Amino acid sequence: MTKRIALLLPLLAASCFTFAREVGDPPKPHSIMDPMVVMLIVIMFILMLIIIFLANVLTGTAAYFYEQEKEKEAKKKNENMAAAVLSVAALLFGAPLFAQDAPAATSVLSQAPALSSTAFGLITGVIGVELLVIAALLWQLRVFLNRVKAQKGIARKTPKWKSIWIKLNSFKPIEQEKALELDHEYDGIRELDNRLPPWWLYGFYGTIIFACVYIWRYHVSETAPLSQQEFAIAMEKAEAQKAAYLKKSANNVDENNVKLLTDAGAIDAGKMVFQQNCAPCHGKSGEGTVGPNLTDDYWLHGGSLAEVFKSVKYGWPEKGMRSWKEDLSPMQIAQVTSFIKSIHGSNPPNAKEKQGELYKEGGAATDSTSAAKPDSASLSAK
Amino acid sequence: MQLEKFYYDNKIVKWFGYATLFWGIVGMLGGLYAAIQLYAPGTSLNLAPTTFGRVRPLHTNAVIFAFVGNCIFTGVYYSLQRLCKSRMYSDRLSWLHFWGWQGIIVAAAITLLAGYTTGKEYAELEWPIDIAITLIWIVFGINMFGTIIKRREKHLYVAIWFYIATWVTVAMLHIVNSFELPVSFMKSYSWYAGVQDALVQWWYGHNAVAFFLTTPILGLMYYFLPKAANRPVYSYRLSIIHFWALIFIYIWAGPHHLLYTALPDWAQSLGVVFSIMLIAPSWGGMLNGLFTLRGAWDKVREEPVLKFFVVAVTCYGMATFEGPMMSLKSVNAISHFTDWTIAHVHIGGLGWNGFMAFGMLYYLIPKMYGTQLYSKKLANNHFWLGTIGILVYAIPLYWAGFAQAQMWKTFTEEGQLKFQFLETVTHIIPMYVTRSIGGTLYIIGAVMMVYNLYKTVKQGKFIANEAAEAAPIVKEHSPVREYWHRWIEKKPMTMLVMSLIVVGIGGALEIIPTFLVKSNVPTISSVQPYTPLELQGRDIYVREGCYTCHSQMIRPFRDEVARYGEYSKAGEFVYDHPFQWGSKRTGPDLAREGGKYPDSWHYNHMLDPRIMSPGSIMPAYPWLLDDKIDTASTPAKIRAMQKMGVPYPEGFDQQANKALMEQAESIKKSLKTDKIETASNAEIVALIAYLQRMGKDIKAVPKEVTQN
Repeated sequence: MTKRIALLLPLLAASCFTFAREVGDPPKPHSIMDPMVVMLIVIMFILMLIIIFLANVLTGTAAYFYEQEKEKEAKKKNENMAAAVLSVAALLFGAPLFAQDAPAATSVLSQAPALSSTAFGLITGVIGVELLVIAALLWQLRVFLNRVKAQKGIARKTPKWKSIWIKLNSFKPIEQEKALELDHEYDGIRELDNRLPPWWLYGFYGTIIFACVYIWRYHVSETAPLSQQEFAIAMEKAEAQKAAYLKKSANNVDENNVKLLTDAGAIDAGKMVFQQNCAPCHGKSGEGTVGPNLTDDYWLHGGSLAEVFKSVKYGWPEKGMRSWKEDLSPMQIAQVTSFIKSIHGSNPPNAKEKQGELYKEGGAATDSTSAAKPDSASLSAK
Repeated sequence: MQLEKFYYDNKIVKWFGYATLFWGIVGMLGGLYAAIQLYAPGTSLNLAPTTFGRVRPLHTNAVIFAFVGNCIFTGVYYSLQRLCKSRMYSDRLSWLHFWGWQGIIVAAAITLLAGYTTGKEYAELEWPIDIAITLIWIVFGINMFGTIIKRREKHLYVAIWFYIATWVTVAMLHIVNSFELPVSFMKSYSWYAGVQDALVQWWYGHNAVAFFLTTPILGLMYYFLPKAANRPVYSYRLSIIHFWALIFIYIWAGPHHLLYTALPDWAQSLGVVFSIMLIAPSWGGMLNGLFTLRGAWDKVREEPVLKFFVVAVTCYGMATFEGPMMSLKSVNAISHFTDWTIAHVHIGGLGWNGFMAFGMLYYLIPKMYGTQLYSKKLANNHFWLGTIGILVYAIPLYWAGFAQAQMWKTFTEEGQLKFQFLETVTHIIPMYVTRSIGGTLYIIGAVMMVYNLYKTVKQGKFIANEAAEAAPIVKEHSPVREYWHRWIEKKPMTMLVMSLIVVGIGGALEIIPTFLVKSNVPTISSVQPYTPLELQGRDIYVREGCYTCHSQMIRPFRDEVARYGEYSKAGEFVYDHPFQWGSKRTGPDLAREGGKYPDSWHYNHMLDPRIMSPGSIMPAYPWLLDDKIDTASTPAKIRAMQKMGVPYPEGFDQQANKALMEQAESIKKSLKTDKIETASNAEIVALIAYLQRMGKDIKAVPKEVTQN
């Protein structure tokens, strides 16, 4: 029994350690959702639940026996029993550990669906350790169950799994073997005439059905893709992914590389963002209310595209302008910045008085909407 | 009834048994040597006969045909006599068979290392040896059927059904796959080309596994397992069903080695579904073996012979479940061309074949020497060492295969391949090291067995002729109606014919349409026959066993197209006698190697691969720089190709060498511009010509389309 604990403890330690590492160095996320990985994670999680469940059952059982032993044999403490309780305690200690680790580990993994081989190795390692823990728990449970039986004076009956196994194979008891023996022998080798194991037979039928459905789907109904169609699909998917990434990388703008967007779609998108987020302070048309007028030539924090972008992104908290970088994507900031540049000089009604310094668009400036220039000229003429 | 007295011939069994031991150790050491070369390329010693490309075929041929072959004959010669209650038909044929087979093995070992090969996996031996194999196989057949016919037992036991099916199917496979046109003594071209050659080859290759490594061993299991356990066979009915289902279905499954290749889709699908349907018939054998041990598991704990059998049968079950899974296209997309396949076959090879052989020998040798095994403890240690060896061998390779496949398929977000091919190789080198350690453990176990058996032999006294007696068969009409299968069990010839028909169906239905229906191999007009220099270069490629590490088959996957170029088309291979698609990518695919690197790159790379790609595990081929092209063979080679329908112009055989030298001169010139001096008739020039040709024809297609 003590040996058993000695075996169990490092096992537990190992499993915790594995989890710690899992949490400690998360695998780098990359590429597609791999069904294999998802499956592994699901298996890992289910095994974890099983461990928790078994640990609980075992704790209960152990507690029950502990009470009983205390009542009956308070004086001569069975060394065996103490050891059992000890190992259960170890498990008890282990179970919450697992419970804590479980969400952490899985959340890390769910961020990284396709795994590097090290991460894959870790997961399979974890699964392996989990299986060992389950085996150890089951074994421990069996020890208790046998104890119950011994107490109740029940002879060991065929366990459940064994009777299922017997049924699955439609085994005849070995004592009745003589009846099955055929009337021939070859060099002393006798033969029985047992039935075909039913699961085997139905499994065989199953594979035949699989074969028919497979051929039907690929070559008759043509609802499953053959190699070249599969290739076409994969390439299409890859293209889409690439496009999505490129879109994302277009999204990946900052104050250093932002360019004025002039197409109607981007300006409209910017307008939408403006209406929803900026209008409360800067007015529906950018005429300024709490915040300054955004249509005139005067800017508190610079009027170039990059400076406006920066103001939106990081804000000027001390002056009441908040940072929008958590709410708006870089692309959206670029869009709203471009929209702001597009309403320059639109002279909305109720315009707020000028604030800050005069900003003139430089010759190389990106802002060169033809409508804005004469307007700004007329404004400066005022 | 008068009992007849007769003697079983144990001497032939003993010699086959010794041969099993000897070739087993030799074959395994060959495998270990090849395995070490994968991470220490210097161990090839820069010599032609010891490079991986030649050692690997030696290893596979040695373990399959020498080790398992002799193991089969040992078991068959022992059990057949006892199951038929008769001495072997003819002692003379027995010895002819024995020495003939050993002679073939020696010839095979020498010729393979010398570079004589047909370039078809597991059928590498050249035509004279092929003929010798056929003849010796017929000798074996006559001896076997002679024994069966003069038997004193009316019915044939299930083990003999398996022997019969084995004999007839192996004969069919060997003959059909070995159709080749001799060019000279020890050089021939496969009669088939490209896709058709691939289909025939893998129909053969797969069924060599089925009918050389599986069915005969199942036969042995049916004899030795119940004997050793002293238990009745679990189910006679199961024997019948799984026997016929197994031999019928197995033969269809060959195309699962060619999934996603240029093989027509319908053939691939047949390969998939028949592989899946094969699970149950294969498992029938495993179940009948394991269930036979019901009520004898306490014996298994003590008896090393049974331990070996149990693990062998379990490995058989695992491999025959994994195999169908690997035949599913989605799994195959990952497993194929990687070390996963190597791990899979070694579960079968080390676990099933090896352990069956060990168990059988541990049973037989003491029996024939009228003694007990010298040391059960040593045998138990052998068992554990072997089992651990298998695990240490297989697990790293599964890992390596899976990891490498994932790396091959990984793209960066920008849509670029993330890993260079070489990176994926260096990544798995630790796994290669571990694998060779597992192999070493296994071999140490086998050596322990040799010692144990040697000691057993020393302490016993050989019973060369074992006395037995039985009554002869009396012809009688049994008034009771027999179970239907009992009838055929009395008729060995009918059994032979039935088996042939049953295995013939699958092969015929797959192979014949692929040859006859044109749409299966769409013609590509720009694909031209090889020039004489390229043809010579290709023969060098075949000779050096490049196909053992390099595939020539780009599958229609995004990563392969990105890495190697346009996926391979059936029409590209119509002049490939033999096809060289390969089955393993230890190195990158070469199907579109042509034009990727300059001539000088190839020159330096062959001199020492690590000059051009540091970290490469490819062996060096320095002899190619010095050896001269065998131009004397060119006309005969061209004529052979013409005979097989390759459209060289009439009388080209006489001008071939002129064309060859012209092309060689141009390559010599191109090398000279990169400051490399070489003779124009050096073998390297021919090899460069071939490598630079590969996969280029199809690139001419769009041009042609616009011209039309």
